Amino acid sequence: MRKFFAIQVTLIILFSGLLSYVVSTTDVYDRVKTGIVSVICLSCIKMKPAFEIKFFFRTANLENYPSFILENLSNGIIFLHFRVDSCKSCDYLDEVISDIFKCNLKEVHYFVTTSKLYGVNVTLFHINLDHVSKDKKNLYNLFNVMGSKGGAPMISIVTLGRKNGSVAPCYATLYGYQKKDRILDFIRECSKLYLENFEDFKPSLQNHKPKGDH
Amino acid sequence: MSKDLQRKRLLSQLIFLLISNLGARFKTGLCYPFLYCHACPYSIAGCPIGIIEHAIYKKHFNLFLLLYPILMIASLSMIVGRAICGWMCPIGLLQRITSTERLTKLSRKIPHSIERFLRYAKYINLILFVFLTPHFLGFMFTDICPIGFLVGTIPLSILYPGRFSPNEFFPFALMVFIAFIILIFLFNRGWCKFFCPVGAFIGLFNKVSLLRIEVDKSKCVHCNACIKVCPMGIDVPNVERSRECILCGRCIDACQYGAISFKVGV
Repeated sequence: MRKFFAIQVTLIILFSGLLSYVVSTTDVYDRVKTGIVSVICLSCIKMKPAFEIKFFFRTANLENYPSFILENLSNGIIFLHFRVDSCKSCDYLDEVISDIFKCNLKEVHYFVTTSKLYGVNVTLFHINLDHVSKDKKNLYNLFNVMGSKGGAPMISIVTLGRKNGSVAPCYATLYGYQKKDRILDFIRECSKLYLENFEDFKPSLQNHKPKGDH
Repeated sequence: MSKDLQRKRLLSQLIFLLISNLGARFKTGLCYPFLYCHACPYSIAGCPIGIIEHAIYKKHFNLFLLLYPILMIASLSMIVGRAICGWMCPIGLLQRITSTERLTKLSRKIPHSIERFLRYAKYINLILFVFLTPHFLGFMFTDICPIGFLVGTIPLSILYPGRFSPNEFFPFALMVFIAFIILIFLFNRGWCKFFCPVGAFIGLFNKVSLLRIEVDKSKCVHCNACIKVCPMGIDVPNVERSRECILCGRCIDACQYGAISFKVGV
């Protein structure tokens, strides 16, 4: 009896001690909080946000566009593709995007490539949020227009739009698994906008501070 | 039958339901010690199954993320065992609402051999769909989890009408959800007994937990009143430290001879 009680107490101390060690010495608590609890799990709800293509001029968190976005806009549109590790829709979408850009995104955490589609250079940034640096993770917040109701996978395309008569960077965001045709339609629409506005695109936009409503 | 213990249990279940849904104000990095989905718009913590799947999905392996929910549940289960299912779990509360005396009788009509086989289904569910298929094939329990459907899909569809559309797993998840609803209405604690992967894991700790049900055999008259009321269908006087026991205390209430009690320690 005493021996059994000793085993019970030992196991309790062992489990709770290990738990304390894991929580205090690793980032699991923050990872669960920010990566699992605070972002909606599209796999859990078996749904994807039904979001129409809508262009925004200001970023979702109101921060400025990073300089590399603005620099790359001189060359063409920017296709940002965000995923996380444990996400079936992300796996499916990887295959679709690999097919469009003629590359292999399997097991790749960060990848950049450029393809010419619909007469415009499209620069793909493939970003696995579970494996990239904080600044690249922050890109997700810039374009996550649905906030915690969004989730991964998420695709944003940054192109050029016209706001109050002047050309400025704008973007649209889609969530969840999308079929190839829909993504190609999305790229086509963004490319069309880019071609319409590129002539008036000024280098001064590199210091563009997003303002105004979408 | 004394209702006092059951009132306390109901109060405990309601309190934990409330705590589980305080996430509208703030989110934590904690993990529920029972099956509850972090896709619920008001969830305050992470689903243990979801966290395990994140840790091992598609041949990835994050040891600390894997250990976190396991140690969280193990620490608590070592103390209270499956009382977590009986006193804390919101899905346990749901099944308490859906269960009736008639169902308890119906549950007892299932042939023992079939019921015994079905009881192992939750262990198969745990090993196969929480550990093996997510790791090797990428198919997760989460993809078809009826609890995610109940507390995630349905509330989000109501709160944000038109903002979400079904994905490719939706039809399968809907079928599983319908089966889940039928199950909990047809069988008393059907989900806990046969399919809950978290319950399967916690059940292992019933063998060594500090809190347990004790039967004083010198007082027992073998009236079987305890067996009749047990929602988990346990042969209470003859099975010590059953993995199925959720320590709900209904057997304690039912025993007119005071032979059954909670015991802490050996």
